[in-house]
Amino acid sequence: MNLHKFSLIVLYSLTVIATLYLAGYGFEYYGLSLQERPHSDLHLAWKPSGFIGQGAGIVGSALMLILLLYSMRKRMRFMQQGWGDIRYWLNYHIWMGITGPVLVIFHTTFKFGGIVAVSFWSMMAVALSGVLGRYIYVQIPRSLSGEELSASELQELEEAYRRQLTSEASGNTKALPILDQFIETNINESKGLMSWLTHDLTATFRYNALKQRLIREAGLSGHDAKHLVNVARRRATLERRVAFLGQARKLLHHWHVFHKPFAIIMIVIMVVHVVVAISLGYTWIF
Amino acid sequence: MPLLWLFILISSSSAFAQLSPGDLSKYHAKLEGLNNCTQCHELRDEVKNAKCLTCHVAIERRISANEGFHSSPEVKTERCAKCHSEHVGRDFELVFWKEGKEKFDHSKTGYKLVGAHTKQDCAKCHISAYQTNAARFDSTTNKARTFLGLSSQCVSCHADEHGEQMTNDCASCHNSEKWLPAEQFSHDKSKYPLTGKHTEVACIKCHKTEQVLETVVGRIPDPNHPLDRSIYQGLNFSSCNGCHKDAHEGKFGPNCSGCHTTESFSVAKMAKDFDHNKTGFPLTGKHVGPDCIKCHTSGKMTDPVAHATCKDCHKDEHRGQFASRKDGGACESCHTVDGYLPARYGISDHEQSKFPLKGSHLAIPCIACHAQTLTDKNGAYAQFAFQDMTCKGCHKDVHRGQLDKYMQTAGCEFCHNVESWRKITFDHATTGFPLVGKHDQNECMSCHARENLGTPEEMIRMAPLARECELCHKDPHRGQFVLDPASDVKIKCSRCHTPDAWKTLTFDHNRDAKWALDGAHQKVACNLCHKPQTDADGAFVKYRPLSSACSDCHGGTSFQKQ
Repeated sequence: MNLHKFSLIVLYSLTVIATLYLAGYGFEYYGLSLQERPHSDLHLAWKPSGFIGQGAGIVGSALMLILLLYSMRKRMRFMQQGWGDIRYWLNYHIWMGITGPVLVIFHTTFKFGGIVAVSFWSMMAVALSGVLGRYIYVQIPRSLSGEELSASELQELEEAYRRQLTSEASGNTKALPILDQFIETNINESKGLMSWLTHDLTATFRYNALKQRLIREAGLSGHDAKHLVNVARRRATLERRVAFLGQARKLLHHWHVFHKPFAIIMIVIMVVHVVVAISLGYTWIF
Repeated sequence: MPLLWLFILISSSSAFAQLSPGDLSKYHAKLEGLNNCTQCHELRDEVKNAKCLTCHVAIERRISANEGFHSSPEVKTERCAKCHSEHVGRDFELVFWKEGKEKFDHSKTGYKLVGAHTKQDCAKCHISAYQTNAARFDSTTNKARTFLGLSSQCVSCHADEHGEQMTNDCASCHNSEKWLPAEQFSHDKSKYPLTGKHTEVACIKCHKTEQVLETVVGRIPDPNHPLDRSIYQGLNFSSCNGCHKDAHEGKFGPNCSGCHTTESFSVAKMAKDFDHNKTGFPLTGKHVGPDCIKCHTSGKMTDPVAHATCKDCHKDEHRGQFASRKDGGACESCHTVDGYLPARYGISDHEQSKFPLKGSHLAIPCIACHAQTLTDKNGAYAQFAFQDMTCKGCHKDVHRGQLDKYMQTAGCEFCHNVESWRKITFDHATTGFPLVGKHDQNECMSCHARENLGTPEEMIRMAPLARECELCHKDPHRGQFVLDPASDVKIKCSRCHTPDAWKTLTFDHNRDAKWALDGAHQKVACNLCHKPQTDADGAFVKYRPLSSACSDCHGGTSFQKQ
């Protein structure tokens, strides 16, 4: 495990712990109606301007400001060389894009009103679109450094998977046709983003069914069938991505158009919100 | 394009309003809008109480005066916003009763609820009708909602049942538990402290009610339903007659308390200046002085006291011994109101009695005869009635029956009389032993000697007494005249002697002696023959026997000398 991966585990663990803590201890408060909250003993700490509520807001906002470094990393020329692997930046961007909104949700105390709600919902849109963007992003085959693979590299990789599958299934004449049929169907059934999503969400079931079919029809052992399915899955995924590479690139472009303005709206209104809050005395509470 | 939306969105005034974290409550709704933020918020500072109190002047005044709930220690130091949260929505109530309205600790307001007040609903008191203290309000005050404006004066909420007859300090008499009875009230603090029976009389007996038409809080004067109001002022309590009817109809004047106390009309005291002479029984003599209760034994001066005769009050010390008198034994015949003793019954009265006093009886004190010799269940008492009116009725027979034969005939008076015990009128001759001669000259005691001296039987021997001389007199002759000592036959003294004198002899030598005197012997002195002699008891004269021989007298010596 490299340091990058370890750091992500630690960070996501912190996110889970913080979420569980806030959800668990704040459950009683968040369960109260807005009218009841001021009368709760928890109100002082858990209200949006309270120690915990405002703390979550500050940390969440900070994370969402910090994650903009990723955008700068992509756009600023001086940051494009010698600033580390862009995939790592994305991973931290994603972590901040998840953790920030989670904390901000607790800052809102699940009360969504006023103009700051626009910021909130923009944040939600940005975050959710980020998830979607990440999905589209992975539909484009990339090198380990995150760079898109060239057409020849794709073709080479595709051939390698094909050979690996053929060689793995060479001992069984029944297996290979089944696998080829499965891969072809996989490509044929994939028509766009929604069908990709559907396929990927049901992938576990479908590959399990393929495994059972290999055992049943090709007479493979469970272990062999599983091994073959894994090889076939890599090939099927790659072939589908190659087949829809152009569409994915197009989607990713459109996604940027969607993701970026909401991010701007969110940031601007958040800044207004923070400025107003600070102006009215809700300053740093730590 | 998205930036355009954003611009439109945040540049609209309504959007600016949306910067608010939530709607203000309806009470502060007029403060909505960005322009008003600083009405409550300090820039770059928290919401200060001073901002709140800028509008809520009434509260500010209360806090400055250190009065009311917001001046209580646990509230005064808090921020307004801690309790009165805002931006929680239009319908949010800014006043929050943490324990419920009914459990609010009203003592923090400076007016602790006690008694019946604790059982009342808040709205019972906190209504506009009772908000008499308008100085507690300000421009923000909503009279329908505010808890301010009430006065701690009872009459600010309660009708003045006394119609301003009393001060407004209701609590000096009443407590918060209930109107009646007025537990705190003490008549002692009034101008007329209650004593005696007055403490038991129902208030309304003195404090009558009158019907009044008067506006009180929550009540409109209604001639058909006038109020009954007790009268506390203007009562004439300086005189008992202010309330009480003069049972004596003015006979004893207006000063009832001279005789009566508040303990009871009937248990009256005798006033020092009470004129008993105005009654049917004027007090004189010893009747002046004793406690009234001595006669008015029931304790009630108004109870009739029989007073026709002394015996109506006084015990007959004589136990009816005088009942047979003509006046029935009326006390006043002998006694006066000036004292039981001395009785005015005098010697002259005694003269009229069955036993007039004579002689020594006049000199002795009454009690010598009328001693407390009688006894009944009530004790000893003096005897005035005597069955036996003779001397023996009173006097003891000191002779112990020796003289009964005389007393049977004439009683003690046979010898004695009332003049003096010692003046005896006894005729000794009646005894057969008349006193003659020297006997008549002697003290009786010479013969009647005392016997049994020092014993209960001591007495003077009166009878019988022997009549022989020698039983009283000593024989100086040494038994020379005893003829037969064996039979005690002797020559009686009276042969020679007489009672007149020892030496007055009736002796005749020629008659009474066997040796007659004749011749010269008649002229011879006796002692020439009867020579004095002496023995152990002294000198005596030798009378016999003498020798009749001449020579025994004349001898051989000169004859002449013999």
